[in-house]
Amino acid sequence: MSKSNFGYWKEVVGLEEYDFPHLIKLDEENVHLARIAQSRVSEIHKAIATNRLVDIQVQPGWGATTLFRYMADNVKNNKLNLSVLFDFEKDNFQDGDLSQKNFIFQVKWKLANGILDIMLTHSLQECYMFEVFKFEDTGEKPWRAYLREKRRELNECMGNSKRFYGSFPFFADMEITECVDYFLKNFQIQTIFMYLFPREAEEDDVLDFTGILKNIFDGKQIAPAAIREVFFLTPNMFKMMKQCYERPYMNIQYQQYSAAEIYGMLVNTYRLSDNTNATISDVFEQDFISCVYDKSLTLDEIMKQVETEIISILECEKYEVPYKLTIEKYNKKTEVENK
Amino acid sequence: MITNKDLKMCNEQIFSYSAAYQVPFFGREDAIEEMQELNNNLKPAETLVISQPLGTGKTFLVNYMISSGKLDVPTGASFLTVRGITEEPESMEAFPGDTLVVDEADIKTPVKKLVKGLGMLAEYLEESSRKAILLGDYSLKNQNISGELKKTVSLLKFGDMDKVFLKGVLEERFKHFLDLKEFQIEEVMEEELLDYLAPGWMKSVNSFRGIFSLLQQVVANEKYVRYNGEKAFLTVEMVHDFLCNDDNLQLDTEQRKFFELFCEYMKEMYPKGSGITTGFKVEELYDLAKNGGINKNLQEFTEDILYPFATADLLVSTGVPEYEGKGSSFIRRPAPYVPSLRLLLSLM
Repeated sequence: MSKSNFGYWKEVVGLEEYDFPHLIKLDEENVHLARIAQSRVSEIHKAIATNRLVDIQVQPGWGATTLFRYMADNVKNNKLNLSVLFDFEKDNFQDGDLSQKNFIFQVKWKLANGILDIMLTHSLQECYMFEVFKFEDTGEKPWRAYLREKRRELNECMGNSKRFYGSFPFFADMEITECVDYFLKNFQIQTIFMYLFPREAEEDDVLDFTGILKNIFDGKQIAPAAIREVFFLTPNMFKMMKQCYERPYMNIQYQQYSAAEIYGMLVNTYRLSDNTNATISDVFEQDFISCVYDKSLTLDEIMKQVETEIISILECEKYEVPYKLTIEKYNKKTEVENK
Repeated sequence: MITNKDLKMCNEQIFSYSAAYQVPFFGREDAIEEMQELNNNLKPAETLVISQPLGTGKTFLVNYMISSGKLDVPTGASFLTVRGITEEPESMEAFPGDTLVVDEADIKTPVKKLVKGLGMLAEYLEESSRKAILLGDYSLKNQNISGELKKTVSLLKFGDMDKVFLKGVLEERFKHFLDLKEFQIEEVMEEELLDYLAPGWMKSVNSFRGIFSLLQQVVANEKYVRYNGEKAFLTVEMVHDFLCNDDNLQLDTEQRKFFELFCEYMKEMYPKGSGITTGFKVEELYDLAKNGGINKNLQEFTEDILYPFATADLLVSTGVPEYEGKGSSFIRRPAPYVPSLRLLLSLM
C-alpha cells in the first residue's frame, strides 16, 4: 500500500514523471543545473590557475562524473582556454584498447577541433592562425570560409588518423607539447587537459595510461602556462597513478557533499510539473536526507534509503497522504510503532 | 646567504626528479667505468642490463653518458620503451646506431606488455645482430618476465644512495642553479635531515625521486618556506610536520589500525629505522596485525593492507616482482618491505 501511496503522492505534487528522490544524472546538455557550492568551484579554479597539475580526489560514488562535466563546461566558457577532455569512466580507459599512438591522435584531433572553434569566434594573430591550418591567401576563398571547410574535413577525420595527419600537417609535424607551446606563444591560449578516471580499474590500465602520459610529457620543455592537467579520480586511483608517475600535483581532497548540499541538488534539478513557482522544498523536507546521511555510503545508496523512509511513512490510507512530507510525521509514526 | 626566495624560485630545478631540467651530474664514477667496459665488449645480440629500483637515476646516468660521449649512442635519440616496442615494433629498426636503448622495463608497464616487449626485443636483436642497453627495475630479475633475453650482461656497480652521495648531488645542484662557487649543504639543511633522507639500511632501494619530490613539496608549501628574504633552512621538524598534516593518506579503519600498530612497533624496535637489515616478511607483519587485533586471514591482510600500503608509499618493497607466467597475477611490490621515508619521517 505504501508504494502505491508513494506513486499517488508523486502525482499529487507533480513528480510522477521522475524517479524521485534519486538524483538526476546530469549530462553535457543539462550539467548547468548542477548545484555545486561556489566555494568548491573557486577552490578548483584557483588550483588550476596556479598549478600545472591538479588532482581532484573524489570518493567513489560521490559525484566525480558530474563534477568533471560541470568543470569542463565551466572551463569551456572561458574562451582563452582550449580544453581537451577525456572521460575514461564511461569506457574504462577505452576498454583497455588505448595505445599511445591512438591517444596522441585523439589529443591532436581535439586540439585541432578546439583551436578551430576558437579561431571561428576570436581574432588571433593572423599569420600564426594561417599556419595552423595551412591557409594560403590566393584570393579564392576568404579565411573564415576556409576554416568552415576545414571544420567539415575535421569531422570527417574523426577516428581516421591517416586522413587527419594528411589533411592537417601542422599536427602531424608537431608533438603535442610543441602544439600547446605554440598556442600559448602565439595566441596566449592555455590548453587544459581534463581526465575523468573510472571509479575502479585494473592497475594495469591505470599504469598503461599513466605511462602514455609520461612518454608524452616527461622531460619536454613546455612553458609552465601553456598547459594544465586536471585529474578527476578516486584516492585509490590517484595513489596508483602517482606510484607510476611522480609529479608535483596540487591535491584537492574533494569533501563529500553534506546533507544540505544533496538537498540543494534535489531542489535545483527537480521541477514540479504542475506548478512552476514551487520547488521540492515545498513538498519535501531536508531532514529525510539528514536522517540517513552516512559518508560510508554512496550518493545513490543514501537516496535509496531516503526512498525507503518516504515509502515507510506512507503506510496509511490514501486520504491520509500529506502534500508535504515531513520528518515529524515519520518520527511520530516510528514512535507509534515502537510503542 | 641563500634566502627562502632563492630556494622557492629554484625549487623545481634544484629538486628536479624528471628530465624536465638539465641538472648537473655527480658521482657514479664506478658505474660509468663499468658501463663503458661492458658496452665496449657487448657482442652482437647481447643486452647490457641495468636493473635498479624506480627513481634511482638509471635513465639520468645513461643520458649523461650519451651526452658526454661515453656511450656510442647518437645524442638526441629518444629511448625506446618496452611498451612502445609492443605497439610499434618498427621503432626498433628506426632507432639510430648500433645499440638500442630501451627504458621502462619495470612495474609501470603491464606485465603482458613487459613479457611481450622483451620477447620482441630479444627476437629483433637475434635477427639484426644489434645490441641493447636495457633499463628496468627488479622485474628484470624474474626469469618469467625477462627469460627471452638469453644474452645479457648486468651492471653491478651502479652504486647505492648513501648520505655522502646525496650530499654531493645536492651540493652540485645548489651550486649550479644558484650560481654559487662554494657551498655546503649544511647551510640550508639540518644534518639530521640528511641522516633521515639517506639512512644506511635503505641505500639499495632509496630513490632520488622519493627524496626530491618530498623536499619539493615542503619548499613549495608556504607554511614551511615563505617567499621572503629570510635565511632558508630545512629541518627534520618541517618535513615531519608536513607529513603528519598530509591528508592524502586515506586509510580505512583496519588500515589505520595497522598503521598505528606498525608505527608503535617501529618506534619501539627500530627507532629512526636503525637495526633494520633485510626488511619485514609478510608473516612478521601479519603476526603484528593479528596480535594487534586485526582479524583477517593472511591473504586478506596482504591484499587489503600490505599491498595498499606499498602502493601508498608507506612501505617499500625490496623483493623481486612475482610472476609465474601467463594467466597468473603480477605482484608488483612483494615482501620483504622496509618502511618508506615518508613513514619514517612521520614517526619521529
